[in-house]
Amino acid sequence: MTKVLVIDDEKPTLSMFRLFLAAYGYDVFTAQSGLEGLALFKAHSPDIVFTDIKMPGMDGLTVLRKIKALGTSSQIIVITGHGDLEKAMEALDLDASDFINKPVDRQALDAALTRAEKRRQLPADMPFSATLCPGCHEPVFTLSGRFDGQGPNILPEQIGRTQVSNQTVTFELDDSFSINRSGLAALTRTIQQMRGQNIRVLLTHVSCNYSRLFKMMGLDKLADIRETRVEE
Amino acid sequence: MTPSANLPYFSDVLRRSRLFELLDSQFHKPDFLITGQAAQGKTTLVASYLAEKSIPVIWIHLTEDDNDGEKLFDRIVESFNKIDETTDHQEPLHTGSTILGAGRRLLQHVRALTDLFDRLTTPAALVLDDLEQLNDTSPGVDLVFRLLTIPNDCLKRFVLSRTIPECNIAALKMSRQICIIENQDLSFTLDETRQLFSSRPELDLSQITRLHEMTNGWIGGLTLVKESLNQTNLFLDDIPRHLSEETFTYFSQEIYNRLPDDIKQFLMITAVPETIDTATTQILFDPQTALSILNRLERRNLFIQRIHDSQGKYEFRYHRLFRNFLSQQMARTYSHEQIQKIYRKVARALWENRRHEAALKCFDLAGDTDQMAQIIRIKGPDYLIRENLSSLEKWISRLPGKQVATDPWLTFFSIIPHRIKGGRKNIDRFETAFSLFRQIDDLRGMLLSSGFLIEAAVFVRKSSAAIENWIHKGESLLTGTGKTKQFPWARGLLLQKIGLGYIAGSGNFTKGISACKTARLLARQINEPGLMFNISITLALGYVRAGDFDNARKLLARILQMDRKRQSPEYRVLKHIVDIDLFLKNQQFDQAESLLDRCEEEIDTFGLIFLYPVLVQEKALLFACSGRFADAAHMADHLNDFSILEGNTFYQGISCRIQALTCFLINDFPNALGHVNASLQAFDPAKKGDIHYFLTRQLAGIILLSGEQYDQALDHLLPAADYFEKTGSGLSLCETLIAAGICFWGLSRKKEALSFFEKGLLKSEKEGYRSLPLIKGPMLITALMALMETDHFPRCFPEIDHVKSMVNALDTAGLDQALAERIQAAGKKEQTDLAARLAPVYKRVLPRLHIRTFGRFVIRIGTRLIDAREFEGTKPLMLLKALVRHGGTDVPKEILIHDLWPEASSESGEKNFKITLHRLRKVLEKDIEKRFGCSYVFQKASRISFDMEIVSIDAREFMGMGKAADRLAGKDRLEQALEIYEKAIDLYQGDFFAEEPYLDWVERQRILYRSRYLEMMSAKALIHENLDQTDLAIDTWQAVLTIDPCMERACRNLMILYTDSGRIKKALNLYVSFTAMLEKEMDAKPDSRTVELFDSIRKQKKIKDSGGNESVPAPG
Repeated sequence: MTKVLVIDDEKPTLSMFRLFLAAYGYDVFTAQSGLEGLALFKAHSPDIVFTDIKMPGMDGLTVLRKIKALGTSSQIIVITGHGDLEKAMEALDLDASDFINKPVDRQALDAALTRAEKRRQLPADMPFSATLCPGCHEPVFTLSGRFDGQGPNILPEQIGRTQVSNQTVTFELDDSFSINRSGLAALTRTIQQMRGQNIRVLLTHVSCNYSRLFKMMGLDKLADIRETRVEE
Repeated sequence: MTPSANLPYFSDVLRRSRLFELLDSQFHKPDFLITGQAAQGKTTLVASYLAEKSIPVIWIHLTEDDNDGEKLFDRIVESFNKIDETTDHQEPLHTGSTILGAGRRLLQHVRALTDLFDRLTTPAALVLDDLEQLNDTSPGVDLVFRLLTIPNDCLKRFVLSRTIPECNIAALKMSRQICIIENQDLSFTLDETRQLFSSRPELDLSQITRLHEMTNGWIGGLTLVKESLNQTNLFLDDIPRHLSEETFTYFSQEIYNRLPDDIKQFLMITAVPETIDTATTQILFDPQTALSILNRLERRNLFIQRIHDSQGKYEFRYHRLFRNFLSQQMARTYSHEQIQKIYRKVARALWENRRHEAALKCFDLAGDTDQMAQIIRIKGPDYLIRENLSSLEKWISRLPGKQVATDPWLTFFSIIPHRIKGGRKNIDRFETAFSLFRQIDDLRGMLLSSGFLIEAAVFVRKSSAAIENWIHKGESLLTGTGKTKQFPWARGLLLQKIGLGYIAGSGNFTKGISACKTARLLARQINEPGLMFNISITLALGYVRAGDFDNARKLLARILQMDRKRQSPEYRVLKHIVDIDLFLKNQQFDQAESLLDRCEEEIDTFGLIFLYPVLVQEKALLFACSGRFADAAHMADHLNDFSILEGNTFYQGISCRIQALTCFLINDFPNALGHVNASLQAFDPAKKGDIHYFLTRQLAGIILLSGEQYDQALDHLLPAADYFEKTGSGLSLCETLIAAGICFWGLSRKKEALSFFEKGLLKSEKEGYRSLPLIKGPMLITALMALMETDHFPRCFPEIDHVKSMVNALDTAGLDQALAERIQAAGKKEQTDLAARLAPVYKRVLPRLHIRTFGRFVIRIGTRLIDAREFEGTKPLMLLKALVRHGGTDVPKEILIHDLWPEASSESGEKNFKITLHRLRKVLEKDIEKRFGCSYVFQKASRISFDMEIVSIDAREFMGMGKAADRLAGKDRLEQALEIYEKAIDLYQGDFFAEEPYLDWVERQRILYRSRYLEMMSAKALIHENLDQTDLAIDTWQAVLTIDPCMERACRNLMILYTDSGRIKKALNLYVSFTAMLEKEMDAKPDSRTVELFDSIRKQKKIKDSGGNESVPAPG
C-alpha cells in the first residue's frame, strides 16, 4: 500500500486529507507540525508527502529541504496559499515534485497524486532531454527529466536542428518532467523566440497544477496549453 | 448456548492426562496456543479437553479463504450467531459491511467482536484450528492476533497451528495472557506410547521404546505404524530409523494400496470438499456403504475427524496430510476430464444438500461458471441480507467479466460490495442493472436496484429532482404491479431507501417518514432486525429534521437498545448526529459538543468520509448557536474547503449559510446578507436539496426583516413557510410564520400579522418547541405584545409554561414594562385572570437583580445601578448584606435580626426587621408591577430568601463555577475547566464585602472565599503548566504569590517554570526573596522540598556557568 504523509498545522485540514486519501486507498500518516512530520518521515519512509508551506515553527520549505537532504526518492508535493506564486517557485527550486494551491480542489489533488504515482516508478534524477518524435507529421518534442535551466540552450539547439518554421511545434511533457524557476525562464525565452519566428507552440500533457503555474507566469499568452485530464 | 459448534469428535484416543493438568493449571489465562507438527494430536487434545470441560465451543477450521479478514470475521460471527439461534435470548449480531467508510476494517471487526464476546455470560471457548493455513502478514492473521487481545472473562481462545506464528506472540507472552503448548509437549511420552500399543501384547517394552525413539513421540507416525502393523506384515526392521512427515506418504500408500477399489474411490471423492457431510455422501454413494465407511475410518481414528455441521448434523474432515495424499492419488488415477466430472458431481451433491459455499468452490474447481452464476443468482440476496459481501465479491470475481456484464443479477451483485466506494459511477452501474432487470421483467431485481440507485444518488448528492425521479420510479414499482405481497424484504429495503431519499435527499420529511413507517411494518412482519435498524435510524433522522422531537426521542431510546447488537459505525455516527441535531435545537450545547467529539473519532477511525461534512456542519452550527462566532466562521470555511475538495457546491451553500447565520447572530446584517445570497446561489433549487434552499431563504427573510426590509423579507419567507408546511418541517415553519408575522406587523397589516403569529405560536406550543433559534428576543416580544392587544393571546398559550420556556433564553428587555402596562390597562375582571396567566412570563422578563460582593459592593437591577443613597439609612443595605452572607435562601429572620440588632429585644428587633425589609423592597422593587405578585426578596414562614430565579449573587456563582471546573479538571477536560476557572476568577474582584472590614459576621466567609480563590488560581496555573502555557502559568503563580506570599507550592512551581524557561537566575532570586520573607513574616524556614529544588537549580547553574562569572545567590 502506498504510504502518504500529510503535514499541515490545521487539524481539520489533516482530518479531511486523511479521510480522502484513505478513501483513495492510501496508508495515511498525518503530522501537525514540520518537526513531527520529519520524525514520521524518518520512521515510515512514505512514498508521497504533502506539506503545507505556511506553518508555525518549521515551515514547509524547511521540511522540504530537510527531507531532500535525506536523499529520499519520495515525491514531495507542497501546498501553497492561493495564488502564492513565489512560494510555489521556491518549492520547485528545492526540487518539489509538484505543488497544489489552497483550497485544494479535487482535480488538483487527483492530478498531483496521479503524477506522483507515475513519477515513483521512474528513476530519480533523470537528466533533462527533449526528444523529437521520429514519425510525427509535425514536430513533437517530448520533454522529460528535470529542466532546471542548467542547459538553457538545449531546447533552441534541438529546434534549430529540426529547422522548423511557420508551423506548430508541440512540447509534450513527460511524466518525469519537472521544472524550476530558471527552467521556467528558459522555457519562456525559447517559446518567445519561436513565436518571433511565427512558430505556434503547443504544450501538451500538462498536469493541472503545472498548467496553473504556467498560466500564472503568462505562458498561456505565448503558447496553447492543453491539460492532462485525470479520470474520475 | 448449545454445548458446541463444530467440535471435532474423537474416538479411541488416549487421555492426555498430563496435558490436561497443564491446561487446567493455566485455565485462568484467556489464550492458548497449541503448536506442533502435522498429526501431532493438537486438535484431538483440545477437542477432548474441552469436551471434558463441558463448556460451549465454537470450532473454526481455518482455510486459505480466511486470509481475508472480512471473511474470517464473518465466519466467527456466523458461528456465534448459529449458537445463539438455538437459544431465543439473543438476537443475532448483524455484521454490517462498511457502507459509508473506507478504512480501518480491522478495528471495526475488533470492536464488533468485543461486543460479541461481551454477550457471553458463561464460560465458552473459541478454537481457531489450522492457523498455518494463513499467511503471516494477511489481514486474517492480524484479526486472529487482535482477537486474542480482546479482554473478556468468559471466552477462552485456542489457536492451533503447525508453525509458531512469528508476530505478536512475544507481546502476548509478556502480558502473561497466553499458555503455549509446543511440539515437544505434545509428543507422546514413552508411557503414552506404551498405552497406545497396549492392544499389541506381542510388542515388548524394548520394541515399543524403539518405536518411540524412531518416531520421537510423533503421534501421526506412531498411529501409522500401528495401523500398518494391523494391516500388513510389516516388521520393525522395515521401518526407517527416523520417522518424519515425509514418510507419511509411504505409510499412507502402504495402507491405501491394500484397500478395495470402491473404498479408494470413496476416499478420493469425499476428500474433494473441505468437509464432507453424511447427507452429501449418501447422494454420491450407496447410503449404507457411505455411512459405514465413514464411521469405520473415524472409529479407527485414521486421519479423519467427525465434527458438527451448522445444522447440528455430522460432518467429516480428513486430516490435511491425508487429504493431500488423496488428492495426489486422484490425480494419478483419473484423467483431467474425469477429475472435472468428479468435481461437478460433488458440487451438484453439495448444492442439492444446500451447501452452496462448498458447491461454489467445487464448481469453481470444475471451471463451471454457469453453475456458479446460477448459485449466485439464487443465493445472492442471502449474502446481501447478511451483508456477507466479501464472499459475494469473491465468487463474482471468479466469473468471466462478459458473463457478469450481461446478467442482471450478476451485474447487480457485482456493484453491491462497492456501493459506497464506487461513488458517482454507481449511479450508472445501478441504472444498468435496473435496465437489465426491466428487460426481463424481474420485479425483485428492479425493487432492489432502484433502492440502491436512490441511495447512491443521495450519497453523491444528486439534485432533488433526480432523487425524486428515482423515488417516483421506486414508488410505482411498489404499487404498479399489484403484486404487493411479493418480495417483502426487497420492498422494505426500497421503502427505506425512498425514506432516505426524501429525508436526506429532497428534504420532504412527511413523505420520508411515511415511507419509513411502511418499511418498518414490513421489516417487522419478516423479522429482519438489520433492515429494521436502518429504517429506524432513517426515521429518527426524519423526525429530527422535521422538528418532531417527541417521536425522535422515543425512537432514539429504542435504537439505543438495538444499537447494542449492531456494530455498523456509520449508523452509530448517524445516530449521534441525530442526537446532536436534537441537542442543538434544544440548545443543549454541552451534550452536543460531547457527542460531536465521539462522532469525530468514529468518522476518523472508520474513514466515514460521507458523514464528515455533516459533522463539520453540526460543529459550525454548535459554535454559531453557542456564541463561539469565530470558531463557527472557521468551521464554515473548512466546510467550504471540503466542498471544493469534494467537487460539489452543496456544502459550499451550507458553509455560506452558516457564515450568514453567524453574521446575523452578531447583528452584522450587511455581511449576513452577502453570505446568504451566496448560499442561495449555491443552492440553485433545480440542482440541490430543496430543504437547504428553503432554509436559506428563511434565513434570508429573517436577515432582511432585521433590516426592516419587510417586503423583500416576505418574498423569501412566504414561499419558505409554504415549503415547510408541505414537508412537515415544524420548527422551521414556526420560525418562518412568526418572522412573516413581524413583517406584516411592520407593514401595518395587522390582521395578517396576528394570523401568522397565532399560527406560529400555536404550532410551537403544540409541538413543544422550547426555543426558536432564529427568532431573537425583540422579535418574540413584538409577536407576544401584538397578540396581547387582542384576545388571541390566551388561545395561543393555553399552557403558560410554554411561553415561560420560550422567553427564558431570550433577551426580553422591555417586555416587563410592556406587560405591566398591559395589566394596568386591563379591566378589573380581566386583571386577575391575566395576572395569573402572565405572572410566570413577567417574572422571566423582569430585569435580574445582580449583587456584587467581591471587591466593591454593587447592586444592579438590569442595567441600572442602585446607589447606596437610595436606601434610607444603612440598615436596609445591611439587611441585604446579611441575607447574602447567610447564603441568600431560607435564612431565619432571627439570624438576620441578631446580625443587625444584636442588643435589641425580640419585640423591637422584630419591629425593626419588618420596617427595614419593607424599606429594602421599596428600593429594589419600585418598578415591579405588584399585581403579578413577583418579588426579589420574599418571606415565607419566618424565613427570608432571594428569588434566585431573578437574583444573582457573584459569590454563589463563583462557588458554583469552581465546582464545575473542578469536575471538568477531574475528567481531564482541561481546556474547558480552564475556561470556567478563568470566569470564576474574573468574578473575584477583591475580598468578600471588602468595604466592611470590621463586620464580625462577614470575616469567616471572607477567608473561605479567599482561600477558594487561591485554590482556583493554583488549579488554573497547574492547567497552564499541563498545557505547556509557561508564560500564563508564571503569571498565575505570580498572582497567587501576591495574594499569599507564603504559599510555598507557588514559589516552587515558579522556580521550576523559571528554570525550564531558561531564567535560572530569576528562579534562584525568587527563592532568596521567598526565604527572607518567610523569615521576616513567620520566622520560618522553607520546606525541605523547596530547599532541595533550590540546590538542584543551583547545581544546574553551576554546570552551565562553569567558567562563567555570574554570581549564584546564596540563601539567607
